[in-house]
Amino acid sequence: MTAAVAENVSEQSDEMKSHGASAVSFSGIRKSFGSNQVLCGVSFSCASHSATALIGANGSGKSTLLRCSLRLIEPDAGSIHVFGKSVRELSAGELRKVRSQVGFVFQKHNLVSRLSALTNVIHGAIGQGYSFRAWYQSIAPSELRERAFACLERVGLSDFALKPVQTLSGGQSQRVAIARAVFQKPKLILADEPAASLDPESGQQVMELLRELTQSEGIGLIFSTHHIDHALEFADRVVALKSGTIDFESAPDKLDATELRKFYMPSGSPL
Amino acid sequence: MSELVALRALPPRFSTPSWKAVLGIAFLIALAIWAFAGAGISTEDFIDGLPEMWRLIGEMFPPDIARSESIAWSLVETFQMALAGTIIGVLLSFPLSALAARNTSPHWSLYQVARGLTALFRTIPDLVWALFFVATVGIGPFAGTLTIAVDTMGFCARFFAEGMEEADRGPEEALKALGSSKISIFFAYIFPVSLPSITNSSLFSLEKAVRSSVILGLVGAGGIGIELKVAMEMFRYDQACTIILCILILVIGVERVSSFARSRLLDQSSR
Repeated sequence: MTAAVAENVSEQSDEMKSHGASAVSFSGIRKSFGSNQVLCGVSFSCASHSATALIGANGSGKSTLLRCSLRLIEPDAGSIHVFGKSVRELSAGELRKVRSQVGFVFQKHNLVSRLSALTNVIHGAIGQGYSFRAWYQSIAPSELRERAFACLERVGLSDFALKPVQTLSGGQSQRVAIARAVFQKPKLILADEPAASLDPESGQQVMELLRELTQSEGIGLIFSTHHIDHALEFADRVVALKSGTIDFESAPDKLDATELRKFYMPSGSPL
Repeated sequence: MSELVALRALPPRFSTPSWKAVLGIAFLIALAIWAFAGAGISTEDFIDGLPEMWRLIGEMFPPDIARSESIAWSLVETFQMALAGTIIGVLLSFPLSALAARNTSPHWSLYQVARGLTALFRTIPDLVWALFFVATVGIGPFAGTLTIAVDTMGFCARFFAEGMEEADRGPEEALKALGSSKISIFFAYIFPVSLPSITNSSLFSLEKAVRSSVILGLVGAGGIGIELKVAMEMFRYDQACTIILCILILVIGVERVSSFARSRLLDQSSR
């Protein structure tokens, strides 16, 4: 670990202590796209070392909320704290530093095609002071290459390290994306419908992998999903969004799958 | 199995064109008639010229190879001009295209300037650039090399920029979420995904440069063109034939090598 990265982690721990154990907190988040109001004052927080599932129908604001947390989408109003830092008040450089400490797994993995799986994993270090040496595996320091290879091994893809990612299946690509997120040594992983574009078996494997890695590394996890079973099986807490507001939040053992499915019906709410 | 019968009427094979489409087609036909009227096309002159064409072709054969050594050196110079001009043009096209692509340009004013320059380089014909450089740097291959470099910039910067603009937004968002700076996003994502388009455009511009470098000699900008001009003016059509055949071999040779290089390079671009 470089001095710069060690300093980041230490700063991050201090900030977290001063803001309790909350990894992310949202307060009164509003976001509109033209006349379409997607988030209407969402407030909730997620503790570190726990898994939170965001559920809700299409257009309920799950993806927008996750993107707002790293200002990939700028919210119109409200405040967001990540590791105790108010992300809306950060400078461009500070924001990049916070982003480098959070893993983000996208629905369609968003890997750089034509580049190898190993290079894509090494991209996880771009924001951590390695600069151009993390652009390609061929110019990366040995330490990064070894760590990235170990991450690929953990997701079962070390045999595919030098394969261009466009030759991998959807499930394999999503596992590379998870390896890239884990490679960042984050305290938190945000996953936007990580199993949505996968077949049921690959989706289950991806969720199991995410849960196993986050639990073993002590990483917080917030994932959005349409799979009720995934929400109940892999989350410690379920937060339901409806029309841009929080409809309910609960521990999964207090929720019933059949009742929860009604939540997706036009006027249904289980609680 | 019972036959399926549609309950609703089958849609027509062709839809009736709108009055705007009819007007557009009528305009295009009128434009073509207008162009033919002004092009001085004369069947009579063409038929009268046929015996003259036949006589000239007859005088070309057998080709005279007495000046083959001098022609060969001119041909080498032509290729050197084309290659050096293309390399300079391609290298200068990189920064220009990065400024001329919407998704990579740091500011809209730089984008407008870069687009304007690219259009300027592209729209002024190469013979005009050759006349300009012959008048400023003098007669010889340097003027030709500069002409090809400028012409290549007009061609490549536009196509490089279009290749960069076609890059999918997903991986760019993923790299942003990792804490990447704009320059890292450019080199770790935009550049490698645009590489096939960059390779294609560069090789096409080399082919184009070889063809245009033949003509540049006509205005004193070096290369084999001057040999062709002298042979035609001295009514040595047999020597002109040798030169034309040499040009043909050079152009076809470069096109073949370029096609081969293109297919090989595009197959091996994983890193």
